[in-house]
Amino acid sequence: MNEEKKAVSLKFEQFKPAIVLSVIIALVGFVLIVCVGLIPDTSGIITEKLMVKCAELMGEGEYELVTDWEEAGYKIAKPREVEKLIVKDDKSVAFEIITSGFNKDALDILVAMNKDGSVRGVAVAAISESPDQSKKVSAAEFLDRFKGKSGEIVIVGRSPESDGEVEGITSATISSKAIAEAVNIAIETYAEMGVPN
Amino acid sequence: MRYLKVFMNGIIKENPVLVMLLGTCPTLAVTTTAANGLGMGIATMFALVFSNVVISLLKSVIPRQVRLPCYIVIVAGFVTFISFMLQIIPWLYWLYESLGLFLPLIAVNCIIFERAEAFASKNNPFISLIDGLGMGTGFTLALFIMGTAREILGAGSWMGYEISIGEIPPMMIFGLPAGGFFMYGIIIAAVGKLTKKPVRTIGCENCPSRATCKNFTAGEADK
Amino acid sequence: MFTYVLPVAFFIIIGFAVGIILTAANHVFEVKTDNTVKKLMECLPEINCGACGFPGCEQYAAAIAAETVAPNHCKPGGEKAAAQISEVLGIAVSASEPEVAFVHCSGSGAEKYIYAGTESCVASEMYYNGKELCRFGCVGLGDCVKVCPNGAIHIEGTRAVVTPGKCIACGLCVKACPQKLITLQKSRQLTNVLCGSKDTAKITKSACKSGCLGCKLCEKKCPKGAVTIKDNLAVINGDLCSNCGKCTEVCPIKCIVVRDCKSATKSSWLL
Repeated sequence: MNEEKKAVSLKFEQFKPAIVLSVIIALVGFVLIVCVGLIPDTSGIITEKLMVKCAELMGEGEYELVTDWEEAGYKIAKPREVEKLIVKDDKSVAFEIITSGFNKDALDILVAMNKDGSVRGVAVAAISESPDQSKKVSAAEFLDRFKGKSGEIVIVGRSPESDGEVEGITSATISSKAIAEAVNIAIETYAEMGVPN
Repeated sequence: MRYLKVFMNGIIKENPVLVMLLGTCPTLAVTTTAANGLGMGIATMFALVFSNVVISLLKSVIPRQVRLPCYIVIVAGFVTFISFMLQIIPWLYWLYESLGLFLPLIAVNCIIFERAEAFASKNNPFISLIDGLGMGTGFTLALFIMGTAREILGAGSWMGYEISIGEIPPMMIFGLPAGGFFMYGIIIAAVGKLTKKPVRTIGCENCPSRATCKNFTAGEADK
Repeated sequence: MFTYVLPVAFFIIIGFAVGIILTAANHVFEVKTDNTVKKLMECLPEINCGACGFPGCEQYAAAIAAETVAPNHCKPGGEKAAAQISEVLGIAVSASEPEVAFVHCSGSGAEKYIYAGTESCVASEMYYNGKELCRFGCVGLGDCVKVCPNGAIHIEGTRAVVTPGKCIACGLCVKACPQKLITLQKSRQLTNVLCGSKDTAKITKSACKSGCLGCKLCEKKCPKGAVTIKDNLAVINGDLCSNCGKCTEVCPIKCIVVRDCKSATKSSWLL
């Protein structure tokens, strides 16, 4: 009987490292899940960060977040790619779009539209690419290149030869393309959604 | 007092960055400005202190074979937590953006590991806390000094305020990796010189390595 | 929030698997180390100073475990280390009384051949017991000098001489001498026989004018009975000798000497 007990406890000893590691992982994981749960949900409001960018692109005024598109009178429901639709008191429109560059969902872009469907301005609300790339593509010098575009945009490595081309930042091609993707989504969505009545 | 000795150990005698040369990756990458250096130092100090305490509390529970994975999970947990905090708290968001990629890298910072393995796993929680504070302070100080030097020379500013050194324009190289290495080397040399202890000479005849010393030949009189 | 439960569960499973793998690997790849050596190492200060005569504390511990060296050679460890080691080994060890080495040869003999080979006593000893006429004599080529970690032994003429003040009694010269002429003795024993020849009086006389003949005059004269003649050679028992010097007066060859006591007590350890 004693020998059996010894054999059993020996077996347990061998599993102890694995068990301890699993328990520690479980505990840490649990704590982190709780922390994530405590992060306030910002999907229904315009965060301060976003508000600052809106004011930058469209000026001061009253801004509203459109939650139900069809109810507001738009032709389509909120596309998956668009995070938020922001409307100003003078009916000008901006989209918050999140795209992936080098890192997944690394770029949080605000695209403001003109009434004729061309791009009014592009701002970077948040970016978590590598520091160098992040700085370069957030610069006004690059983002201003999108102003006035109304068709599909392609990033090229040289001076643009047509309206559909925008020169990217050479060492930040992937991030540049991510921003162009966001702008394209904005242009397309604006064309599709129409004007509310 | 032993606690004071342990605390000061991390700042001067065994400064993790300038003496033990641990954690050079974040040191070089983040010290382009003094404010970034300070921020990184404080973030790392949090992770270091918390993980030191927790690992010290668990030291009798964690088996030897899996101690490294356990340490990593604990440290990574705290770093993730810090990363959340930085994202949520508005007046800390600038730090989250400036640290960028190097925030998750705190999880694999050599300093935190070395203290966990060499100190926290062998001492009680309170003194591990003191050690974490000491090492963290030493790290922050070192980063702040590096950041200051590189920012003043490289960008002509300090903590955001413009500073100019006479007629000398800012030299961009100090903001780049190469300049970072230069500055790092210079600071290590300077600190080493300032904290050098006088060497006690014992002479050849008292040297225990005499038998294998190349300078010693059989039968020669004492040197 | 619930989207995170699945990844964490996954993580837990991976952690468990890793734990198993590491435990298995630890078992399979384990390097067998002698437990005694590990235990002995814990008794030593682990500063690898070399005072014991070994390159490092681990080598000294291994030598103690192999019983090739005395357990009380650790100078920095001192009495405490000696006590702990004796506890581990289960023997009684006294902290070392200071010892010094002594070379039992006066080097007064002539050579039997001219030696032009490798400068090593061991090499010379392979040819007809060395280049000295006396087959027990000190070859004088310095094997002991080479191994001494403290420079406490040097060659004077054709023989080795120990500087007692520098000797740390590590015993390396004792092992190095092919003629086995060096012994370790308590440093308070100042009286020594300057000969190691076990040959009969006739042979010894023909080989060296200072060799011990085994005439037994010292044995008779010694008030403590510390001197005995064994194999035609006088041997002094350090525990009994009182350094009275009577044996030295009576020796016809004058091959027993009493060392200067000042050099005997001077410590070589200035650390």
